[in-house]
Amino acid sequence: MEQPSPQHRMRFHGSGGEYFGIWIVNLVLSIITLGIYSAWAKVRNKQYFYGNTELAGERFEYLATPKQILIGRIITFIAFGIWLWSQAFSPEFSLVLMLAFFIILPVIVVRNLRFNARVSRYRNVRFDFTGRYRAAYLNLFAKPLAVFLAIVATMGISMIAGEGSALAEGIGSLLAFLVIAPLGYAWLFKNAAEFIINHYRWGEHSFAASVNTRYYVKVMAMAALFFVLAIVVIGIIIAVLAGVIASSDFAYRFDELMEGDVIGAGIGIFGFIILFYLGLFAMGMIFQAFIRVKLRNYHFNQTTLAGNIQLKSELTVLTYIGVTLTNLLMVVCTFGFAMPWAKVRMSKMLADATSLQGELDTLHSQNLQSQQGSAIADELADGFDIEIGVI
Amino acid sequence: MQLTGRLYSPNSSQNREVHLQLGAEGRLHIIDAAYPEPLQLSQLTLSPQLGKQPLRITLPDQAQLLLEQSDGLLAWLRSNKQGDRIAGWERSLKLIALGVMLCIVTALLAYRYVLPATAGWIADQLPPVVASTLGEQTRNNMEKWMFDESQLSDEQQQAMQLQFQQLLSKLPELPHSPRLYLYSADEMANAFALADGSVVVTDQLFAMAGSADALQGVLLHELGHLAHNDVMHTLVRSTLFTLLLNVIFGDVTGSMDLLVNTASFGVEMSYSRGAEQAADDFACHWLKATGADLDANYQMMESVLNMGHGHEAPEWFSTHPDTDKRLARFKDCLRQP
Repeated sequence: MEQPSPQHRMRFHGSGGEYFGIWIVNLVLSIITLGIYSAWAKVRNKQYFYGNTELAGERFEYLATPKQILIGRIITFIAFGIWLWSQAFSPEFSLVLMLAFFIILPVIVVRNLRFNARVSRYRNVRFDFTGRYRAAYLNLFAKPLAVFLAIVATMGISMIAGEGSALAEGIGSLLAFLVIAPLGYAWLFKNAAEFIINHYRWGEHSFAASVNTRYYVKVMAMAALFFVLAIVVIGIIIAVLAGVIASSDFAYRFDELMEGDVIGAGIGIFGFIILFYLGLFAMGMIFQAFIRVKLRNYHFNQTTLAGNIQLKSELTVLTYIGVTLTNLLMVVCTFGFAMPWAKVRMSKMLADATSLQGELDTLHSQNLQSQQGSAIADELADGFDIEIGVI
Repeated sequence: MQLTGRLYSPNSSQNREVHLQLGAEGRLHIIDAAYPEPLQLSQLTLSPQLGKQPLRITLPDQAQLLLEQSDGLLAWLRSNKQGDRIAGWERSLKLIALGVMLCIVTALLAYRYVLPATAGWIADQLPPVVASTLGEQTRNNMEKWMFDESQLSDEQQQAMQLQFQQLLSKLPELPHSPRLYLYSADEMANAFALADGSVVVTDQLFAMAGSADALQGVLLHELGHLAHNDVMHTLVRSTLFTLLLNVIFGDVTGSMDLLVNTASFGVEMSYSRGAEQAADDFACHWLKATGADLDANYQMMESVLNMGHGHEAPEWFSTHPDTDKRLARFKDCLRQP
């Protein structure tokens, strides 16, 4: 009879109170040194979060050195400055910069993934990312370009072939944006995910995943459906509110307006605008949470390590929204001082939802290399807010 | 003192439990066949002491030793001058409280003095070509999207220009040589200043003033913005502020972006309220100094400020201080000899 393989749940041991001390000392020293210490602060932060993440009785480690981070930060700071100024003063130059940035983006992605993997260690063995630039350019540059061209070509052909008829153009646009764009986008996502996951290693063992384009289409369709429903709901709420105002209050407000007491009327309009933005914000948040959670779960659940250890993620959209929303409120109400608790809660939530199934205790590995490379790409990705990775 | 730890072979996940002896003069003896001689603490690399995490010690042969933190171990490290001083600070309630206060004070000081002063200094150091390129771009965009050519007659336009030059000749020299631009914008009575010294006035505002004399206050208000180099100050300040927030909260993602943006929006609003007041004071001072028609100019200011009143947002949300307060202040200033 086959024994069921053991399940190892990830656990996060940090606490907000404990981390607050680390966070505030980091902040104060960063202020005193005019930001230079922030490189040391980042390393200490990461060490705290990695070191408190436990799997099968052992904890992760973060090994980057502050000097690597500092060099990366300085270069990013300069690049960011040039970018901001070029935006303000020379749109042409800023366009050239943007183009150059898109061209080197795959290199930045690969170097960033590699650096982050190599400075992460578990059981004295480092992770690695072995994806090559060639594959990165194929999956993150050439294929996206092909999808983009396919969309443009569909529009172009429908315009030329239809000889300017509105019907042909309409069909072309529908085809481009409702069929080619979502399918193409799902296909790109599949390629990027497989490229990234399949090139991760832990020492001599590889991670492997095969994902299905259909799943991405499904997630996108559900997200789109939610979006449409939300718009309908918001539309109904606005219509009802407008009706209420018209029937009861509006005449009174209108009088006010006529008599010059405009402030009362102004507040009504202002409140309406705030309500509208809140609705928009909530919609965006739910939308983002849904896609994040679904994809994280999917990518983990499709991934194995060393052939027989199964990764698992069981995050729910509701938990995710609950934690991020309460975090946001906490941080806003405390002018940022609740940040340590917010970060710890986030880490706890992610760890609690993550597990590995398989014989982890007998799995051993060793380092294949020991070079780390530079942190420039890592800091560039941070500085320019590039979201890399599939988790 | 005797301790138990876990020893990982170099570059490998193979590990075993070991006992070790903490000796005098920083000698660490691992009771294991691979380490017959005691190791010297100065040869080892220690991980920081973060929270209650186990301590990691890298041995000279790259093997790793994992030890739970204990008072005895930490005391032994301290007595051998290998304690983690920063970890001590992170655990001291007094220092944490001091740190919180320091952060609040720094934030207030930075907001009140350091940020505006630094931004002002940088903005004033920038070569004039920066301001002129910027102003030109803005004007081009406005001509493209918002404004049409002025519908005023040539005589009216010439008279306005002449009056503007006369006004300038009475003022001390301004950072950029100001020029007056007239445009037509449907319904929009407005005046504003650009980075390169342009003062833009719409026909509709001109119509509202009724006479060229009554327009002096508005023109002086805009010239006040130029005298204080407000446009460039704002640009540099908001850039600096965004950079600063990104450095401090750099490793935060997701909804925090929204927070950072809201914060910089709010801060920018509060700064520009100050700039509006300073421009009002400038206008008031020079209206009196040039012997302009104070009543006509006050009335013009009043009607300009009351124009947008219908959609007025609360004060904290607005670039301009609360209209009534602002007008009262302006009136007071004009009354003073």
